[in-house]
Amino acid sequence: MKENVFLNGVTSIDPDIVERFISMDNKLQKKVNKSKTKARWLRLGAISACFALIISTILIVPMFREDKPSGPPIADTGASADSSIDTLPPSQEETDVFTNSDTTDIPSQGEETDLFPNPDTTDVPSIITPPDNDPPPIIFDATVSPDKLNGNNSEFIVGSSLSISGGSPDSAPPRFQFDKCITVKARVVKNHPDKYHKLDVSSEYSPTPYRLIQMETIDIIYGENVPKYFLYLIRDYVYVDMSVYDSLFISMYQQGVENYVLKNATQNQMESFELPLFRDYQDHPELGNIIAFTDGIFDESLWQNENWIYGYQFARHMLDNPEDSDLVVARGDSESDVISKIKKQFSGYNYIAPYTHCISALDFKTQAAKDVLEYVKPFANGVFSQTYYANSRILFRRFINGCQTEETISIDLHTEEVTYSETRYTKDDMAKMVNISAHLSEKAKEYAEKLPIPPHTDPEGKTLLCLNLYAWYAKVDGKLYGVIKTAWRYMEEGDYYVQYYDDNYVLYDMSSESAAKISRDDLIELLGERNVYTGEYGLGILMPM
Amino acid sequence: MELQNAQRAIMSDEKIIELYFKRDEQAITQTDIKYRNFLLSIAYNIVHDACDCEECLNDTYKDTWNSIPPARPSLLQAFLAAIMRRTAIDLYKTKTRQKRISSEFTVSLSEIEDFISSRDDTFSSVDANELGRVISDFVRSLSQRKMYIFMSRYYIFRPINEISKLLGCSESTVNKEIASIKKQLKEKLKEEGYTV
Repeated sequence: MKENVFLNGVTSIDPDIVERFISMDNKLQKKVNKSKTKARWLRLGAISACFALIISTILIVPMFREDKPSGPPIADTGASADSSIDTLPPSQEETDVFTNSDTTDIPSQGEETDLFPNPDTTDVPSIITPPDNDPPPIIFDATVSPDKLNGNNSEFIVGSSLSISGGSPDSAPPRFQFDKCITVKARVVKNHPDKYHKLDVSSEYSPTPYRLIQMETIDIIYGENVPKYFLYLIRDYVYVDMSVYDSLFISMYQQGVENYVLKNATQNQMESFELPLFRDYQDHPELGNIIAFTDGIFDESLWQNENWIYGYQFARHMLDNPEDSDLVVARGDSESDVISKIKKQFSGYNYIAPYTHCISALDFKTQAAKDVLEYVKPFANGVFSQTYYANSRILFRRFINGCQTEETISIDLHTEEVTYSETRYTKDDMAKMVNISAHLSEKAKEYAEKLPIPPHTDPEGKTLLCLNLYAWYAKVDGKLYGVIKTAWRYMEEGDYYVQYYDDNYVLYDMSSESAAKISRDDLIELLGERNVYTGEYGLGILMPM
Repeated sequence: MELQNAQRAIMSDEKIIELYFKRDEQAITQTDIKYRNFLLSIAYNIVHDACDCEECLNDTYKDTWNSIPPARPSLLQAFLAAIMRRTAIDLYKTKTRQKRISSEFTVSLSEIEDFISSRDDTFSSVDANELGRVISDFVRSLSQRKMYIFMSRYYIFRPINEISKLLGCSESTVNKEIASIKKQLKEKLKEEGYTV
């Protein structure tokens, strides 16, 4: 390619990109200028802070010995969380964490029939009510509130706004193209007010908050066996109330089948859902995968909402210039116009779409598979997380007291072959379990008061991104253990892409009725590498772009 | 003194554009007050000569005067940057017909010489607008950070050390990211049928 051609090409870059670049540049320039003037004061402040830290460490360190935590962390549970780590409780209820969701605000069948005639309303879904009506709220993981962090907290808002300043995490701008996935015309039945976390999340990261929207399928545009009702899982920072629109076209991917369990982060308890869950294909907001209509006409106000406004700039450019647009929608389009464009676009794609056959309820023929469903029934044997691999298998993992275990059961969706993990927990085991999540909760409160010091990392010149607590159970040679991990994640000051991990571990040995700090190497030797960071401490890790 | 201060007060873009529309020559004065240094920095990255920079600046103001109206830019700074960039590149080319001048412009182009060449005429007739669309799509697909680096380096030809200072990271990090961007761009251009 000739140099001139390339230069002319770059010169012809769309003006909106140049504008965006200039805006970013101005912000960065201001920030750099500001930080220069601040530097002198910061140095003085840092010296004072170090002095104060030394004094307080001398006075307070003896109070923070981890092997002697104080009494029952949750006063109103009535559960048998041990009051001293050296003394294990005699027994504990098998059923650990429960939901107590109020189902009264789910639209009644009558209301739905009035608005949207539907002969099939007998299966209007609801949240499963657990067997125990007096559930103890148990924290099973805890992340220190972002406002307690001493540095950049944009980790928690990435995607919601322009966040390039200070080398903070950035993400590709949300796309407004429409993905070739299961596509429905739907309407909002109910916005769940609470925030939710998935169960199986990495121990090194704070869990991502999601919101749930209950939807009703009005029409299926692409896909098979799409349920009449479903739950749409959307990241909290891009959540908006979509109930004001008459209809929505949604491109989505199946996340889970019936009885999917999420942690209700607002109420600090587990909830199980009868309805299958769906989400955006990327699980990262591709905002063009939801198109709103009012009176049957495309309504771009959904895309203009304040949580999406950054990404909307790109869509607006295409809406302003329909001749250059890749969108499946243009201003003034009716629903039928957009359906035609979606179908045309999908037929033009030569790649195979992600699996588009939905499964709502698991209906197995073999007894072995049926037995599994009985075994993983919500709240019967602890709680089971669910990982749905479309068109291939489904994997359940047992959580006890809200803490992860290594016990898994997998079912092949074609052959119905069942595979149990080598480690299984019995009712007797569960009775012997110390409720380590209660200790974790206590530790979270402690950290919220005062941030702990990482054992292997010098925080100087680094910004704390995330401080996370995580707990899990393990069973080795018939012996039961619990582990609480404190995980720190730092970024190099001003460079998000160089990060440092640090952690420490407390081991609960239920056979010797003791708890103590344990080194990483000893922990690996005893329990293996599950949930353990095995990289080198104190070294910056280059994050993938 | 007060009057001078008032005259030096920075005017909003909207008001400056209104002055252009009224054909009031204060428009150029106000543009100069607000964006002179910014525009000179772009020019300097390309032509590397103070006198040439002034020449580019004058041409940029003249072109802006002739472009607004009818154009009504939504971000005046970006509009001016585009004109300055083109003007400075044109001047650079004129000068280099006589003698090669070393500047950030030449350095940044040398970074991508594995897929551009001053000798290859195969695509001399390539529509700049079409290539602009391809590059725009490519830039949109980048993360914000990479987009910022790409535009800093190849749109306004900013030196690596300045980019690294602005992003608060090392020069080697920026170099690594540029290498990754180049690789992606090369693939994108290949996909679109360009010979690179």
